[in-house]
Amino acid sequence: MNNGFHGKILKINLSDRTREEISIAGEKYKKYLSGSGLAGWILTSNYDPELPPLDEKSPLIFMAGMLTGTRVPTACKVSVVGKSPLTGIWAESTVGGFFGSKLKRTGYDGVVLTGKASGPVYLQINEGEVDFQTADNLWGKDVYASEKSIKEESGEDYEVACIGPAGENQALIAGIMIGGRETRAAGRCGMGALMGSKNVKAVAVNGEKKPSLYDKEGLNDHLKQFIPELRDKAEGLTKYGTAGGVMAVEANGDLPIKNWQLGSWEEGAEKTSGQHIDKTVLTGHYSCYACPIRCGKDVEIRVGPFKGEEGHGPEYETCAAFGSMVLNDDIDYLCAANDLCNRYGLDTISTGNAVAMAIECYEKGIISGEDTDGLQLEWGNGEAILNLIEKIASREGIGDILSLGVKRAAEELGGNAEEFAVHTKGLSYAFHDPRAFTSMAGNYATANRGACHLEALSYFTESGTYPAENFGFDKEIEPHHHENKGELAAVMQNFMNLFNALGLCKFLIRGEVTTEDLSEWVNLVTGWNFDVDELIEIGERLHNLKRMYNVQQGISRKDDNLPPRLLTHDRETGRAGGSLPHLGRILSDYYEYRGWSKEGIPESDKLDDLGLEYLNQ
Amino acid sequence: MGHIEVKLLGNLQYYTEGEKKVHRLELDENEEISLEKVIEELKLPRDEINLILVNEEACELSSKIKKGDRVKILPVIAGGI
Repeated sequence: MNNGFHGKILKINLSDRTREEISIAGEKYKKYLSGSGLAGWILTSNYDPELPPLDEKSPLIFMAGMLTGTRVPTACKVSVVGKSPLTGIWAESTVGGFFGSKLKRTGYDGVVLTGKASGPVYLQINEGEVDFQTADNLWGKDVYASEKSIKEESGEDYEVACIGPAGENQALIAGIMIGGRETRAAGRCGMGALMGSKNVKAVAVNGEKKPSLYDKEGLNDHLKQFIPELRDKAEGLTKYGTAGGVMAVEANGDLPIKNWQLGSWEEGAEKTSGQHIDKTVLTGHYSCYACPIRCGKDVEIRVGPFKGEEGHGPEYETCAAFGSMVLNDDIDYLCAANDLCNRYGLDTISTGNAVAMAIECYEKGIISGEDTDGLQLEWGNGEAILNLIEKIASREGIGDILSLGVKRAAEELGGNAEEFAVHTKGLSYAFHDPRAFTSMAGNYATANRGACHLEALSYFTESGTYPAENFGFDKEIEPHHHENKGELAAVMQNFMNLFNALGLCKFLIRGEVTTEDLSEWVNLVTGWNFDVDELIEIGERLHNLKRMYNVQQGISRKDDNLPPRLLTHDRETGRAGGSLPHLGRILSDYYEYRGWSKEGIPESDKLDDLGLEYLNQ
Repeated sequence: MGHIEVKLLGNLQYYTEGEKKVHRLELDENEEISLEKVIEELKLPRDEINLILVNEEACELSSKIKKGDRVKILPVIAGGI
């Protein structure tokens, strides 16, 4: 008897339109949980690691988390997993909204898509029924219109994961969007391009098959205490959303400014903050499934091609992307840029980095007005930014080059462009500066999907927001020093791996969630008997599994690096002026703590200890 | 009489009356007060504070300050994922 999960997934071959139900033993869930954990096991044990990302045989995996669809707060997440078309390495992009919980109600824990449809389709999955619907009339339409149209055709009960024109055009920085206008994005790693390459416009899911729960009453008792505390502690997120963090991040020297060149932007931060949005363009709030926080915001779009319509409010990352990174302090253009990315299905982090790099290239003469079709790519030019986003989504002119992400775009642009391309392993940086909290240097260098902040989120601990004792770390840390930072990054990565496997939102750390809370929830939902150490070991197992997938792609210490701008360029001003991360020391400590070789390869003994013998080379 | 200047960085101003960024607290000539007291007077929530700088040096809550001192209070990173 499985509690909390179905123990089966649906594999759909798009080429011959066949489907297969695959049973997965409960032991596998105990070992990898679900979400990106189980998906990682599926990817590494069933598919040739050398398959090119856009090969028809490459899988695109949607896997709901172990707790997704239960009452556990924020248990809404689904992970999108495969090989990244952007980076060529491990890809996972975990997203909220209502798609994950509905996917779980189809009676399957996940869906694996392989092959390629002969023409544009969308998949209509209603419990065991899979229908291939033509998407000829949707191809070219934006995310909002497509989601609306699919719901009208299939029924309002369906939840939709959809690509926009950027994914159709296989822009390598395209994401998969959930929830239409109330957007949630599986933004990173270019999974929209993978979906587009398979001619799949959308996946729509529906059903009523909820997995059973081991101890409903016990879970309700635990949540009765936890949920009010979470609601209370996360009040700022409820009121202002993640954008409410812009000013605090700037004050700590953690905000990237002018393509990672400057250290402070106090007035600009205020004008691009959630607090400012609240006073100007805010029109409403919304939540994901099972979430008491409600951090989603609606805003009025006041400029650009969709002026007068309502859109999703920019998240913190997007406020940095189209605010501080490009020196735009006009909230109207910031909201419009965010809205365009959501409509066209672009990752705002990768797009913001690409736009900022293009502006710097324009300023420094690497590209000219001729290359941009007359666009004046100047810092803070809102109209030019909107036009450039349009070009990236349609892969037109300079937009075609930028749609490849900053690494490949810089190679194409030549000259000194690579100096301005801020990425690790081909994934451009999320907007938390590793010069401010240096454990993030260790994390960015080693995060499995490239320069991802979410794989550790250790700036929350370093800045005093989230107590280290909640996840069992008790060593001294000082923001700009290297001591104990490698270990902090590794410990938090292990902990964070659990969230994507359980289907939980990382905002739970605002409610000061502990490892004990997680193990309690897992046990109450499944009837298992995990203690904290066993659960954390799963986190460590998952991090090593993903690392081994990358090792199979040739990844080692040579790739665990920071770009020169973050490693050697002192911003001089702001709270973190004068601070540069001592990456060599941090990495050596990190590898030692992990039981990896000095070249960054997990040792055989470590893999054996974690039950990952099958990945031993 | 004299005063100390307290600058609230980031979002901390939104916890004070009038949402002011810079505050002046009046002190008697030789009076010293603790940072704890300053925070209490401004009604700032403790768990939203990351760091306090007095004349650019990091200080503890129990530290005493006197007239002429410049205080900066930095918030924790809330939101901002």
